Amino acid sequence: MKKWLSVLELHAAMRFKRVLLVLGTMIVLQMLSFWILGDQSNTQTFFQVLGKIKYGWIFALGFLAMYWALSWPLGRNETYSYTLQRLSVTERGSVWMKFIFNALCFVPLVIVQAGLILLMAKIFEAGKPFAGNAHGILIDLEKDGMLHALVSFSNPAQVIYRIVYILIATACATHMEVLFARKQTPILSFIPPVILLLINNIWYDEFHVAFAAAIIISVICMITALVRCRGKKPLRDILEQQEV
Amino acid sequence: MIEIKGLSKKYGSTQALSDVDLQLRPGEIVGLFGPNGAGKTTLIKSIFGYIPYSGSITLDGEPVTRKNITRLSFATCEHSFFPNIDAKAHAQFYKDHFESFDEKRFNVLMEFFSLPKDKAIKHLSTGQQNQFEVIMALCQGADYILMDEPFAGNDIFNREDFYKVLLGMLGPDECVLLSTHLIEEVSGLINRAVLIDKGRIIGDVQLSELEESGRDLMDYIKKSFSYRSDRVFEALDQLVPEEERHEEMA
Repeated sequence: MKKWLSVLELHAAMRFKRVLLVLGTMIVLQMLSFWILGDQSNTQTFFQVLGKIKYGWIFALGFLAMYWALSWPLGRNETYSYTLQRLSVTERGSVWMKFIFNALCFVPLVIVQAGLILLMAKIFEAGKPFAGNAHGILIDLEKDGMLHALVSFSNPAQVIYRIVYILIATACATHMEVLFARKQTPILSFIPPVILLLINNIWYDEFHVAFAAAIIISVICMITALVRCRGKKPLRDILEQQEV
Repeated sequence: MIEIKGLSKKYGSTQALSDVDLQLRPGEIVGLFGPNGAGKTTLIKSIFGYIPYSGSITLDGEPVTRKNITRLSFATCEHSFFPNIDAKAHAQFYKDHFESFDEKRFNVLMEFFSLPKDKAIKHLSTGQQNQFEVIMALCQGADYILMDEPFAGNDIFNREDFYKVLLGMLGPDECVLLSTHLIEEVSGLINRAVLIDKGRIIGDVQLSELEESGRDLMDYIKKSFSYRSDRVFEALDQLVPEEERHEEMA
């Protein structure tokens, strides 16, 4: 168990700075857009403010940046796999540890976004006690598809949707990292994040088919990532291309 | 003992290794020499099972698997460390995974080469990264330490230091396989030389044998590779006439 946790810790240690950078940048951009674009003086409802600040697209940027943080190679020659292959923890085990770490990074991304919206609502309410009362804000949250999914923790269907959403993102990020480490382009795992972002920002209501497609593709991605790490020969793909 | 029998490897139509037989015994320091593309890296990576091959490689009679691979360590010019974490975190990780990790040796070597312990390895210079790569291989506690061009990019003084430290600290049963082009530099360090060319072992000699017969390692290597120094003059003759060359030299 200690060895497995050690691998998880390693993944975290190698990438946590990037993850913090992404979270921090998203918080700053969201708050800046709230103060600058929100134009609260001429706004009657919190829903109008949300319409102006394009928070969904900033979240989309944060979401994509999180993929970069979790999967983009750390250096020009990322060959630490030579060390990972000499451990008693299998490379497949290492991929599962990576999966867990990725999930632990996407969860705060969603929580931070939900927290920011609630914070903005609180600030709006404080500034406009008549327009921004708690009841009105609650209605606003219900009106917005993405917000509804983000903050409706009491609705089990929405909670399950959000968990599946995070698992899709996690599987794709894991697949991306495995393929990037082999100097391959993970085309397949780019598709589900794009679908998820379109669901968030454009296809609010009729998303079931697209969401199902994202689930299927992400499962394929995860299986592919695990199959790639077969025993002690995961670097074969790179080495085949190198000079003898 | 690492025993390699009938090892062959093909990359597409290129035969990288062809029917290689080799034994590495405890306590040996073996130099692996050969021109670029001779198959040195492929041989070392095959021992670890990093690449598929045909033939047999055993460690004390057992195939190399996860059960015994911790008895082998690897230092490569490609680098196998984790670039974003510091030396302290590396040491902790190695302690968690390699039971015989030699922390004392790690601390002494880190201090000797003045490497910072709290700086991500990617922020060190290339020379320092090479040093760190070799330090981790030496401290893993492995019985067989396989090094592939580990000093590429290090200056001569640095390499000299390494050779001296290496000689002084290796245990009697530790075996080192050192692939390098720096033949003359390591001739005082190794006790056996293995020569490889076009995927075949073309020479395997104990340095004590050479000494006894009054030959030196460089001559043995030149002879084994059928090195012809007159090729240089032939090439120059085609470019610059001999009289002109003599005039310029005068």
